[in-house]
Amino acid sequence: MIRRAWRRLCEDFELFLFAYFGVCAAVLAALVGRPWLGAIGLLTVAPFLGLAWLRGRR
Amino acid sequence: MTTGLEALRRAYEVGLLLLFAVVLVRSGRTRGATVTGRELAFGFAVSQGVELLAVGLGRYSYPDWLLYFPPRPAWVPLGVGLGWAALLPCVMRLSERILGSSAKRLHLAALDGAMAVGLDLVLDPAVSGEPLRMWLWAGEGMVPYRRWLLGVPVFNFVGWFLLVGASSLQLRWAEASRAGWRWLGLFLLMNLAIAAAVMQLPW
Repeated sequence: MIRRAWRRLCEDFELFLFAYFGVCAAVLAALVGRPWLGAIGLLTVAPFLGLAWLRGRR
Repeated sequence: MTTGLEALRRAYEVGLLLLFAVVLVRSGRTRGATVTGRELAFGFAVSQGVELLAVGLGRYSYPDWLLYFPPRPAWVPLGVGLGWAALLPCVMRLSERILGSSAKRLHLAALDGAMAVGLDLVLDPAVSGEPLRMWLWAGEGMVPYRRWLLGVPVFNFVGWFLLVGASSLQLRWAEASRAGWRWLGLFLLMNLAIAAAVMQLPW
């Protein structure tokens, strides 16, 4: 399972990296006391991730 | 400044350096040393150059970072240019995945810019706002802004869109053309000139 997850991570590296950026930014916003800002960030990043994920599955 | 905040500031800076290292290794393995070197070096040069220009023109400042490049004058942190250079290939590959690598370069560049702004809409307000204040938009001797969004000048988001879009457009053109990479030096100068002009607008 770990090996499969690692292979998936390597295949979809940019997707995971961009998701990581978005999550980190949202967590950072929450840490500095502005969780609503993190929610905005997730909303602005998620559509791109969704599209990239859907395209990758085709 | 409290210890917790100081630790968060340091973690952010070190995180940018680590991020660049990860992208460097990944890109080197999948795209080869030459393309990787070209992409990351161009991204770093454009970003660091534009940042230096912006700080020099009094648009913002970066106080209390660990590493600056160049070290003197200590204007722009090394992590800022490296982080930006790491983001560029990431959004480029994602755009190619969404639109297809044969899509028009202009469309790909527009999507690259939109993705970068999508991320920056949370990153910039969180990191430059209270209490972290890793960069400052106002201060003595700095040019005041008129239009703000989420506590960040609109100028910043427009700049991200233009800079990411232009850089990715130029990189794709350079990679598709025979010896096109030789033009990257000229593109760098062109980007700096355009950025300097944009910075003079009444934002």
